[in-house]
Amino acid sequence: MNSAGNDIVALAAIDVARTRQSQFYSRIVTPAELKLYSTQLKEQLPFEHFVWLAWSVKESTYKFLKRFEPQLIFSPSKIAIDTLNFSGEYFEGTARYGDQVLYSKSFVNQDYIFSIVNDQDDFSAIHYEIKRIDSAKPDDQSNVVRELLLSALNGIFPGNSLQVAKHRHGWPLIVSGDNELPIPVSFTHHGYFVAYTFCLTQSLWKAHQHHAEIL
Amino acid sequence: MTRQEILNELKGVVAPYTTNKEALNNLNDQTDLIADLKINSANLVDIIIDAEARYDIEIDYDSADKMLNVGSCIDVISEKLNQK
Repeated sequence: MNSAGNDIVALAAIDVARTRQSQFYSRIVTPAELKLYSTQLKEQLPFEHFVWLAWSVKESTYKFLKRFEPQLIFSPSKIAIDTLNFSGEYFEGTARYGDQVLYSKSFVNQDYIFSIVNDQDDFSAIHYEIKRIDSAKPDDQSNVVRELLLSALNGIFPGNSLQVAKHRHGWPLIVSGDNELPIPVSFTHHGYFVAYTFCLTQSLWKAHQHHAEIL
Repeated sequence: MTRQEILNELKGVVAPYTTNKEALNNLNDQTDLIADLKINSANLVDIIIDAEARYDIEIDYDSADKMLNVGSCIDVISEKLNQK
């Protein structure tokens, strides 16, 4: 499956007291995930960060799968995080929706929690960039993250006038004129942070390296 | 409560999470919480919990999943109020 899914949570924008209320967190994490936290992750993360880490993995999973199931609705309690481990650098795990299993990688620091997912345990084709911006207004977040992505893609595919368009079901597309690039992208923003992710497969990368026509 | 009364209250529930005052002033059944009101998805759970408190109702997970636009929010709230 060729898709992309990411999510960022700006830690300055979360309500810590509310996140710690069971009325709130139980809508995001399942009893099995609470057990995962208390047995394996307690030492690595404060509880409120765990809740938002689970949220970001689940939202990334939803975005990844929506391309194949356009009517999919984001329902955090229906996506199960089966494993989540700290590698020393990032959190890696698996998330399941129905019979589909995705792999996740999440970066946590004092400013944000950022997650990406893929359908294989190999993130070498997944490219991303995270940036702190000066405005938390939705239009500014949206404009800056699109500019960032286009600047990165123009560096890889120079000479094409690339633009970001929107699929009728909501996910972003990269187009050049009337042609859509076979590169799935995902945008995320929260507070003063924005990030993009795209998947550039080996075959597309090779085609580019040999100057083959990609569009 | 009539649908109009629920909508008027709903305006107060979503107001803290949107900066799009124009869309807020023109709320209608079709107004999408994310696409039109530009509410960050990270605040969707806040809206469910605030709605529960505002209308003194309980919104189960399946009903919460449906609350994507103003019309579906009013449907769910109205149904829960009728069950009281």
